[in-house]
Amino acid sequence: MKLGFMYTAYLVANMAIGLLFMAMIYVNGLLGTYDLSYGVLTLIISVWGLARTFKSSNEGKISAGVQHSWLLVSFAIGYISLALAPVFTASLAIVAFQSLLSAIQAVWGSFLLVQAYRSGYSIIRV
Amino acid sequence: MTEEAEKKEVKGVESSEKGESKFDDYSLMEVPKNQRYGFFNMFLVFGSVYGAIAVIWAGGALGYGLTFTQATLAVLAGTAVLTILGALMSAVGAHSGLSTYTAWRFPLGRWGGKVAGLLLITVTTGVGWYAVETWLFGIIMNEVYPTSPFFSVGTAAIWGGVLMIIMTYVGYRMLSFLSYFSIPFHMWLIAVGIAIVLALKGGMSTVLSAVPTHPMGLLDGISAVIGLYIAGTIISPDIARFSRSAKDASGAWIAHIVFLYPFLILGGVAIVLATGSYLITNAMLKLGMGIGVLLIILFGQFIINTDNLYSGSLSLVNFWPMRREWASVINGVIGTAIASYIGFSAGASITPFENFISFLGEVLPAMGGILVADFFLVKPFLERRRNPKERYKFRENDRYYNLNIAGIVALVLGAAVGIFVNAGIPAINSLIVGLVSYVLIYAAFKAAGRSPEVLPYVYKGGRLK
Repeated sequence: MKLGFMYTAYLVANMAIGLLFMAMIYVNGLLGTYDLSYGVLTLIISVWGLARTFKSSNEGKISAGVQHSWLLVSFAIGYISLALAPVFTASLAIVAFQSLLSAIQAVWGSFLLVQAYRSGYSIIRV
Repeated sequence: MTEEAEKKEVKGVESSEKGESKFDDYSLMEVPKNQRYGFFNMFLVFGSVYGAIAVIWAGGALGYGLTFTQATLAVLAGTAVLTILGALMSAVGAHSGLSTYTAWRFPLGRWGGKVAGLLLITVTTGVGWYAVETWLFGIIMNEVYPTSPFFSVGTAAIWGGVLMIIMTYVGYRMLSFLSYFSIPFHMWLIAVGIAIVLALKGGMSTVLSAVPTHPMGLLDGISAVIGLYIAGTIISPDIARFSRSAKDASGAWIAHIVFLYPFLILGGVAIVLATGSYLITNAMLKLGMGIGVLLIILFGQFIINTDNLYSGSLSLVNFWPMRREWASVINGVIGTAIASYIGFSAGASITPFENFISFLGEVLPAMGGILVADFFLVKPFLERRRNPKERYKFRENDRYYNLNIAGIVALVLGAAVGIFVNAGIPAINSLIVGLVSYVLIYAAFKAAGRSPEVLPYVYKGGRLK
């Protein structure tokens, strides 16, 4: 499968993930606000990435995909490292749901970055 | 550029690449065009320095002396100065492709550039501040895990220092990788940390109504904001030389400083005003944000110290040509030894050491003024080198000079004003005196039919000596 298409799919999936996080505003307390902020951030990065992808040539699509995937992976690591803090009291089901979503972001994004690197698209070069 | 000149330049690059280490990072030559990066890379690498938690702590000091409104004014004024100066310095780096200290060989002469680089950067940033930050790293690790011997101040300083040396050994590519990996999540963690601490301590209304415990003047506040990052601003060509264009380098500098610097410093101010302490990490730890805090500290200290060591290694290579990665090991081992010594000897005061490296650092603004004056005023208007890419160019068999009297005298004047004149903002005074006096002295020599540059030598190509 072409890298450009794989990145587009990843960014579209992250748009959905961003919306899911935003929907978590209905969880009470600080956690709801935390998830809403993260959801908005994810949505902005995904939409921005998709806009760049659609405007670019094939090579540009991959460069934009690498840059935005990198941002999403890094923010996902930041998100999950605070999401489990005791200050965000949450039920086990919610913790599991959050972990699953951010794990999808981190693992899928990392896989794509490795693929891009093998194809000659170094993260620090694009 | 003429065809012959291009050939000479390329020949110089090729001959120096033979037998060189792949980690040398073009420490004593121009970075080739095909090894340069775009805006995104520049933005993240510049931004990595501000990812450091130390910026919040240092910014927090303002919270003890200024109200939030006053601090905002001080930060905006200080940021404006750093934005302009950094954009100009970055443009010099991108146009020339040279490290800061190699570029100093033009306004100070070869010997002047070597000695100034050693004193102002190797001793201060490369060893001094590196040692202080490594020691701080040990202290924080010990606060997070107080009972583990592996995290005692001295031991943590040693293993932290060794890891930092390894990263600096690789050079710019590792710096880029670290920046890309850590900056987004680092910013997220710090923003969320500040927001949560503030939310639990009364919010912005508490911050806006808080009264500082040790009031200070607005000018002192502006001076502190500038002083906190004047060194980083002046050595920005170390990073900017890897930029594809001056527009990318200056744009990245402006973007990162405008978006990140006020946010981090004012975050520190708000934390102090709301909690009475600048230790946001302690507040976060008490809230149970263990892993997040650990990541903030680890990556923050690592990145800023890798930057310190990297610039220190470039300046040491400039003083005494050697492989850049060896220079980073030499600086790093000395700095780590100092940090661990302080860590193991309980009760040892680090204040005299900090005062000494701060004293040397006060000379830096003058050097910034001199470089700006030479590149943007003297070279184009007094030496008629209009093309910025031609102003700082080493060409095989061309004649250069070991001393530039105008630069040396301007540096001494600017440093004296920065150190001894306390009126106004010392950093700005020093910068302006350096800039103006360099132009005036250079013009006076020209008017007298003489050149301030003396003791000529011929560049033989390849790595500079």
